[in-house]
Amino acid sequence: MSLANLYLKNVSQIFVYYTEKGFLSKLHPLSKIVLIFTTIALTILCSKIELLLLTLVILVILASTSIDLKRITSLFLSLTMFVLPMIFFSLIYTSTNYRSLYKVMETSISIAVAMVRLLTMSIAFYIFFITTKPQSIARVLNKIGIPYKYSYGFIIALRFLSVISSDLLEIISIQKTRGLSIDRNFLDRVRGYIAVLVPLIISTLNRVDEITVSLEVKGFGLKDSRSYLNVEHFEFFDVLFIFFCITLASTALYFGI
Amino acid sequence: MRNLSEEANAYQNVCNHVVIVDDVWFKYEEEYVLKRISLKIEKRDIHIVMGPNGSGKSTLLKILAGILKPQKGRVYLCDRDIDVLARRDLTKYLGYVHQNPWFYIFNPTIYEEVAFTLRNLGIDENTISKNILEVATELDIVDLLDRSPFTLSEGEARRVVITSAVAHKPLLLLMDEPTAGLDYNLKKRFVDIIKKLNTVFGTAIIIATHDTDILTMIDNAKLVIINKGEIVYRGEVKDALNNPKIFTNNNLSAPVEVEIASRLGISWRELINFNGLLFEVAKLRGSLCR
Repeated sequence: MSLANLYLKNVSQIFVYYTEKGFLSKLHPLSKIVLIFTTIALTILCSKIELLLLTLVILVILASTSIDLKRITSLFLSLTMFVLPMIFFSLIYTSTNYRSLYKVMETSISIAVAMVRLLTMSIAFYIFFITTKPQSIARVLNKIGIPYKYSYGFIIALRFLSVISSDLLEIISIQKTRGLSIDRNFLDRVRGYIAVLVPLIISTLNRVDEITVSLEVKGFGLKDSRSYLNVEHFEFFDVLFIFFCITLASTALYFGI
Repeated sequence: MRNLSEEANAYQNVCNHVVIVDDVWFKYEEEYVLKRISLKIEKRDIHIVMGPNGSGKSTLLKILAGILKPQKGRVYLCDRDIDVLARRDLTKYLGYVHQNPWFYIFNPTIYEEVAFTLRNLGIDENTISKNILEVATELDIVDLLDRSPFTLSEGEARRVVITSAVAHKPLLLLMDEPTAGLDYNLKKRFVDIIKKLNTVFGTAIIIATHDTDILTMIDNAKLVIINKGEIVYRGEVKDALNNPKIFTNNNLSAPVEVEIASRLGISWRELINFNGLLFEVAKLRGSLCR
């Protein structure tokens, strides 16, 4: 499998709910939303790399209670692959423009802080999406005041990401069996992208059309409110978890700002 | 430049076996989805690979098309290891038809769409137009060649994709669920196309499907049933049709004709002949009434 295919495969799995086991799956979605917000606040406001690293380690340990370590590693690898060219060019820019070891070191530390921030925020979102059923996300968003039309649309969009990226991989391999080559000159590359993007757009539009029809025939959006078969209950350990998140974030912020 | 038909004949004569699958194992994640798969496909063979959903049929086809690489075992295409074959040779030897025709189509006209593989193989324009006309005539899409592919129906789009896959006269045609979403008449038409490709161009064909309806239409083909990643039956289609338990034991339903015939206590061939007779009578009645 090529590097690009591996990257697409990993990215496609980021927003797909897969686990029903573990402590995080039993948490109320709102508790996980609190985790996201406290993590964002902490990573934006705190600039000490030690504290950021500690937060990252805590989140990875927390995630490993419900998510396979292999998946967490592949998320980190995908993000690193995405950021690596930017890191490379900013280091080259600093070293050629300033020609000072001190500046290069300073840039390297800033890059490391930014990288840890990125990984910390992404693992918080990852925990939320991978351990929460899409229907639960839609229900909770609806409960906190977002109209269900939009919350459902948001969930469909998330689910579509993985479908579209697997379609993309399929189309690339199909066009390759027809002799498509995108490794040659610029013109061939453009032609290659057209051969992949046009079928991708058409098949995506076909899917959208099918979903729209199936939603309309079921009367989706006829009324502003709706009922639900299942409801998420706020348990005692949710309160404990939120308390833990807020305490951790406040302590870290107290020492970190 | 060499004529494409000559080239096709030349490499068909060179190969001893079209495909040899030698003890192939494949896994996506932890568990193997294909285990101990061994197959031999000869020239002009039609193989139908059947199995319930998730049995590994499509994965096997992707391995044969060089899209996936098995963790264990080897695949030989025209006596050469598929791993060492150049992409151009793979394209030359293979035609791959996916179940979704819209994953192929991107050109403004159907002619351009069918010519895509031929141009990638570096064939000259005269040979391309000759080849396209020949294949399009056989598959009955000559009238469609100047049309935009985005105005096609599902059945027409499938025929265009098949034409595009065989325009370069491949040695082997791989078809993944080609009858999905087609009604009985379109399936029959599709089977006629398969038979034509096999007899006119000598193409070996592998069809992966869980649609047992087509079995009674191509009863001279060979059948391979895969269940839970392993080959559980290998033999002639007609032998399997005489023993419907082969299907039911492997989470597949036997063709409707076979089920009805076994309940009536007659052979499925008798039933099909009787059905054909009824059809002819109905046609005759229709023409007499007019």
